[in-house]
Amino acid sequence: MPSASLTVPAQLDSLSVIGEFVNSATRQAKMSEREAWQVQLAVDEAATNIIQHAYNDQATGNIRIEWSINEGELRVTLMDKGQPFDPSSVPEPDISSPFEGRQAGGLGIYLMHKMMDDVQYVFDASGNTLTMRKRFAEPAVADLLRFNLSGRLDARGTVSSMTPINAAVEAGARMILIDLTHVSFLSSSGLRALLLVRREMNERQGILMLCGLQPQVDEVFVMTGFSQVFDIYRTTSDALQALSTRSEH
Amino acid sequence: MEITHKRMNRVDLIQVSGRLDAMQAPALKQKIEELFTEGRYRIVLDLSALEYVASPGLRVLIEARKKARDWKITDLEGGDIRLAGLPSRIREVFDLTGFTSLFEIYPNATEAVGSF
Repeated sequence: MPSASLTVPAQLDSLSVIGEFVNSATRQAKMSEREAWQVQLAVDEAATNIIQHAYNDQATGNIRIEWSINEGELRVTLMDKGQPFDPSSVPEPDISSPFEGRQAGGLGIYLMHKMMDDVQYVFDASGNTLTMRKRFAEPAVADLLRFNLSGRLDARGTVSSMTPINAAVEAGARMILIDLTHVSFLSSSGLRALLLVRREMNERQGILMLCGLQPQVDEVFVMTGFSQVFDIYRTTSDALQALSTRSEH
Repeated sequence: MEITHKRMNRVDLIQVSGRLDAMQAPALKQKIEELFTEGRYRIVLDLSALEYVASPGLRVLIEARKKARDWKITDLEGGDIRLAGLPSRIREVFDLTGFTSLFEIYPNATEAVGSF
């Protein structure tokens, strides 16, 4: 069960370190970009509350943060030894209230509850403990998006060919197979577009596979050294085979 | 977070980029307060380069708008803070917290400035 912990001073400039720490958790959970952002925001709000309220006039104390991943659930715990603070004691903001009456309080806690599946609070001899959980879906073979490109992937053809792929990436796709069987020509523009997709997939621990490269297209990959960088298969079925083998591990 | 400022004839345009969290929010608040002190109460916040917003950022926005609107330039017009170019994540936070209905939001800075 992957897990980690971190102790930082309860100060505003700890927020970026905490953000990085949460980042490594969501990356290991292989969460979608959206889920990762939701966890980031929830932990940011929780940490901010502790920083701003827990230790008040005393010399500053610490925040201890722990995360663990277990069976499709990420759990994040924040602990401090400051004065008792129960988030559920803060009234929920009235989000439909018109501008004149609208207050700014309670928004952070509200967002925490919206972003996470569960938020629990305990105060005891060890201090405040806030536990947040988020369930996430593991990507399945059924989530594979397949694209068949055709014609020339040159400066002109690339833009229209890549539009649906880029839209899928933007929407959070985690597994993409691009079939290049009917692509007759690839120039640096096409290669560059594919590299951008690959970089995005890498950042979210996703999978990009290419298959069906014609000899003249394959040669471009080889000459530029990028045949080592991409996941290239001879045929679609080779790619699908590799994918199902991978998900068995 | 980076703040850039452009003074126009009637309106001041502030562009905010990066993260607007508890650490960065005070800098935005301070910039807006500076403009208020100079008697400038028509402000557009261009948020198109904002990557992230947390509740302290929202607080700065709503408190600033309240203050801007309280100030009467003439008997007829007050000041205002209008927003431009909300990226989708920011928009989502606004929708969730009901903030979308608390501000005039424009697709881009030009339209927002032109609305004054």
